[in-house]
Amino acid sequence: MPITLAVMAMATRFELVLDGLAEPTLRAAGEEAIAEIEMADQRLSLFRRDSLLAHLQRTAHLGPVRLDADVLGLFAVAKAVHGASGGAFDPTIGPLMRAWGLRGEPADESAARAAQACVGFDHVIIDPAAGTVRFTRPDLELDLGGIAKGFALDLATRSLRTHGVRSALLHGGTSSISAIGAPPNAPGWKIGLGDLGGSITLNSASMSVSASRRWRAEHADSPPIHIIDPRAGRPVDARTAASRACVVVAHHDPWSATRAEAWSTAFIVSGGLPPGDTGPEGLAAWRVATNSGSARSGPPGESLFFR
Amino acid sequence: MTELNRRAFLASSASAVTGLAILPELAIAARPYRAAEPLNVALVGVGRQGRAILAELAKIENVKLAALCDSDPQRLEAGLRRAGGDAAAGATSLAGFADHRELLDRRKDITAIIVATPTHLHRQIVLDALQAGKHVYCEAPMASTIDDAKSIAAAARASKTVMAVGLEARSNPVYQLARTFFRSDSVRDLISMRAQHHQKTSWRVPASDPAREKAFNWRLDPAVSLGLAGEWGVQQFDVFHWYRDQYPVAVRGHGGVRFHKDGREIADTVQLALEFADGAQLDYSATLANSYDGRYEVLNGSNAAIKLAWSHGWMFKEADAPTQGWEVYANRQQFHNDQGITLIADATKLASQGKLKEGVGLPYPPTYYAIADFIKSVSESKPAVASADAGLRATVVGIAASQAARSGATVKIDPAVMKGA
Repeated sequence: MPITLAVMAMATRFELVLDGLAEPTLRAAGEEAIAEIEMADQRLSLFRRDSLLAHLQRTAHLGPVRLDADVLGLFAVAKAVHGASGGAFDPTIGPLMRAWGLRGEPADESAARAAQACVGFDHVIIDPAAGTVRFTRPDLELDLGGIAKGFALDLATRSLRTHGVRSALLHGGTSSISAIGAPPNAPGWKIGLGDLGGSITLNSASMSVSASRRWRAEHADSPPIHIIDPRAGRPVDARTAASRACVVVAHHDPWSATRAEAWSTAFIVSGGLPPGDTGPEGLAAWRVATNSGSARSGPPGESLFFR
Repeated sequence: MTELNRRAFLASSASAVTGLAILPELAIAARPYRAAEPLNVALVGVGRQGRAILAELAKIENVKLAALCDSDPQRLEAGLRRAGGDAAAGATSLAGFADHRELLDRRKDITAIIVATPTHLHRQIVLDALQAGKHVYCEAPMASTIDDAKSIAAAARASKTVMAVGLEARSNPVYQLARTFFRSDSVRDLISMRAQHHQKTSWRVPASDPAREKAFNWRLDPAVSLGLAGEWGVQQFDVFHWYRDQYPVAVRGHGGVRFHKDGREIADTVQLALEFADGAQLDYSATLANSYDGRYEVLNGSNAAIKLAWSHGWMFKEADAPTQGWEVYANRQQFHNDQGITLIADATKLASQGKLKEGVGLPYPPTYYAIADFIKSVSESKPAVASADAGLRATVVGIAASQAARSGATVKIDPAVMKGA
């Protein structure tokens, strides 16, 4: 019998469905995975004064700050996707989020122009050999919201695998998903795609969805959606955006959920890769729904994943 | 009436009881501690607490994690991988050991050892480390038997090095500030004390090797575990010991398996009453079945109550309590039926930085302050903030509480042991 565990973290609900072993064993392994999710939250939260992220904001512009191997890995994925997406994914959009009124304050266009100057992941210097990171500007501000859930899922997935779990489905807020193996007697975990239509079957893979849905209705003055295009320095306009929604699937590896989430953020901004581009290593499939209703798809063979 | 006074008046008259958030000025600096000279540190025990310690140790400057030690190969490997940065790039010279004696023999360059193994394994490791001339930080509870705790305390007294015990509240800036309020008569006559730790968890730890299942799950092993009363209670009881300079004389209580009926004997729910010589009582509740309201301590006085929740603290003043002046900087905070005012020591500064609404908790987790205090004691040759004698007394109370929860009987605390005799 499968068991379900859940935890509130990163302002959303994470859920773990575990199967294939005796219940006490699954529960113990699941709680260890939940501890990983809570630790990821403790490290990356934008809303906690005692997070590692807050520590970085206070000190990384003064000199290199030591990171553990996991967070160092996260920064490496962020850097890779930032480069490969031509800057469509960029976690340094913190000042833009604030200036455009996406953190609760009123939008301020002149502040937004100033904020654009301190945006750019190139201002984040990662030294893998020393295991450190530093910021080249004191006003640099990270917002890891486009990658943190994937990071938490990757660490939780690794923990479950280490403890012998061979059949599990994990999600963070239903938008980031990681699958270990398949449910008993099934080819994979079947995930309904809602707006995008159809479903997808995951067997030891990760996926992430993004949608350019409306921002909170009560902010009448704020831009219509909550996604910033880091290249333009302004929010994506939902009416003219290149994409309406997208789904990205990544092959299983230690960073697949992190990578899937970063790419889904990039695709919602960029509308996907140019036709014929088979995409970066590690991505198994993607599908981007455009405003005109058509869908642009990923590499050959991606249809294996969609039903 | 000046504008500020009028605002304070309106705020304090809004309800009968007002809540004042406590945040010390010094925490705002928020710069991590830097050791005067480079310091090599080793961690023994890479379980969940060990990993939490590693995260905080990394923030302290001029401190190098030189070695990890764990008898479980998989945990050791995971710890090395996590702490070692990019191992493929040959980033660090972080060493791994399965046995602490080998670590002590081979790494003379290491000056400080942090012990985060299961409680019942502390004694030998701490004694060996002190014998080898190392500075030692030992997690609380310090031991699971009075004999072990006494022998650690005796060795610490005889040693010239720093021996610190992980009673984290004593290093916590919020708790330090609240203690000055408590002792300055803001609370006035202490009426009652209450604490709880509620968390929904099985308390089971997964072991990839079934042979290690029992060793990993020492908390559920009645032969060695102090249960919730000891493993969780010790940290919280010590807040009251430290605030009052008094220890309980007896503990009564009960416990049982209310939820996790998986064959375990260790209670998943306990209720305790710790009695002090002056008649005051601390009521304690801990459970593994429900998470509501988490972990906190409360001191109720005739003028005010103080509530402490590790990263945050509040004071709830009675309507008839004398005004002390610092309430002027208060802003409002809702606590169920009471609309209170939030007070933080540097409210003007925080408000000018636009930080009031971002929450007023500590800039680092409580464990950071305990570890930083240890490094500071070593680096500056100062006594430990929580000494082995404080650790001994807290552990004796924890053992009595554990026995009371298990037996349902009243357990008296031996005053001779509390004197360290």
